[in-house]
Amino acid sequence: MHRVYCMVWVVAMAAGMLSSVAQAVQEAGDPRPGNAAAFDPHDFSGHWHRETPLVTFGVVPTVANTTIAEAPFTAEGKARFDSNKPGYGPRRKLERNDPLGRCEPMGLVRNLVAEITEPHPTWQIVQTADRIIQFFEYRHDWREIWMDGRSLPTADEVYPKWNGYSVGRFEGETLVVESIGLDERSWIDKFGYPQSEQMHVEERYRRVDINTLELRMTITDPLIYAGPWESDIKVFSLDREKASRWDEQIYCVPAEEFSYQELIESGNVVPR
Amino acid sequence: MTISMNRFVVCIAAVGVLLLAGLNAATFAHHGGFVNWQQESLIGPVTFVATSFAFRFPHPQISGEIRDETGQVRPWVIALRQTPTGLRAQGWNRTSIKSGDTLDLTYSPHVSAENVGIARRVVVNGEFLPIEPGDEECRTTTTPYRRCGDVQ
Repeated sequence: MHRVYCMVWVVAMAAGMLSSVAQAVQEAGDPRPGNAAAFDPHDFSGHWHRETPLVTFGVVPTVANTTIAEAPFTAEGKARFDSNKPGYGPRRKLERNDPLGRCEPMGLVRNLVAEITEPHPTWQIVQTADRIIQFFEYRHDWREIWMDGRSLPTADEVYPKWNGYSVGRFEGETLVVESIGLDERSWIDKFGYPQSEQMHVEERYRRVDINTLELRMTITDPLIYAGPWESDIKVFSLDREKASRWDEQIYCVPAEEFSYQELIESGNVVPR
Repeated sequence: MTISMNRFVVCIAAVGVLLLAGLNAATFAHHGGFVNWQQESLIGPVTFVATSFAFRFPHPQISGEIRDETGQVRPWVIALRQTPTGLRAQGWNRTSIKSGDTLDLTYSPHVSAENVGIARRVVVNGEFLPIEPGDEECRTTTTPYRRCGDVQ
């Protein structure tokens, strides 16, 4: 019994110390307004930096040795998943076919996941009266969310695009965005989870406080997934300092990208 | 140092997740995967004479020569993890390294190509050039090289 109390005490002390240190660091040097500061919950403007450590759509495949449910694949979905050869995660293969490695656009969901490591896991939101524009730093991509009350087109009315077609609305303080018409060549994350042209994506954004944004996505894609599949909650923090810097304009330039890949994979230097 | 409570706690969680997952190559994670650096291995400092410096995306590269243990001069290529923009924030520019410059270089080697590596600590003609935010600690050799030139 004493051992249990001791463990609880140690954990509590550790948590307390962690909290104190973090608080001290924040008070000492953080010029940002405190989280309790007033804010407009309908204003999502700004550069948002991914804080969520997971760089995949959801908590699959397994992280470490935890037991987590597999994605709800259909037979077709499983077949496509098996044919995707990622360069990351438990299924990583030497012979890979990640579209990102071919300089193809990342696609909507992968853009939103913001998988790239520091200093690039950010996107920016610009809001106007009738539209929200989202800029994705890595690969210098963007998408538009129409807020003018228009309806989402049907799949028959549009042809697939890398970032699809999106409309948004507010449900209370939650921004709900729905998208269709997405190009099935994209993966939804770097672990090779597929998508089809039947995919419908719902994004739910909520500004938790002045510095923090939460995003949860739900994918409905009857060709690939037997039921709706929810992401984990992605947490982003407002990066005010980013606005003072020049846009890095990171494009995927084939001549540069393939030369670099050749160097890092084989050690060969490709003349350019 | 500016860090929020949220970012601090999430950083701790991220470290835990990465350690548990054994994703030791995650710090160089993009380009579709398989970045083949032996990140835990550090070689150097070695004397590296630059022949060219490509300060370009996605990652700058330094070409040069290293004299091996037999006295033979061999061509070498060293990549940098940061983009040009990231290096600019650390004080670099396109002329930070010029042909003929002498570098004291510590690097992590490529898994298979022995004449390719990723820079971890760079001193150009006696001047230390930080690669990553936080690398100032690596100015002196008393700092463990392990943290140098890597995501802090």
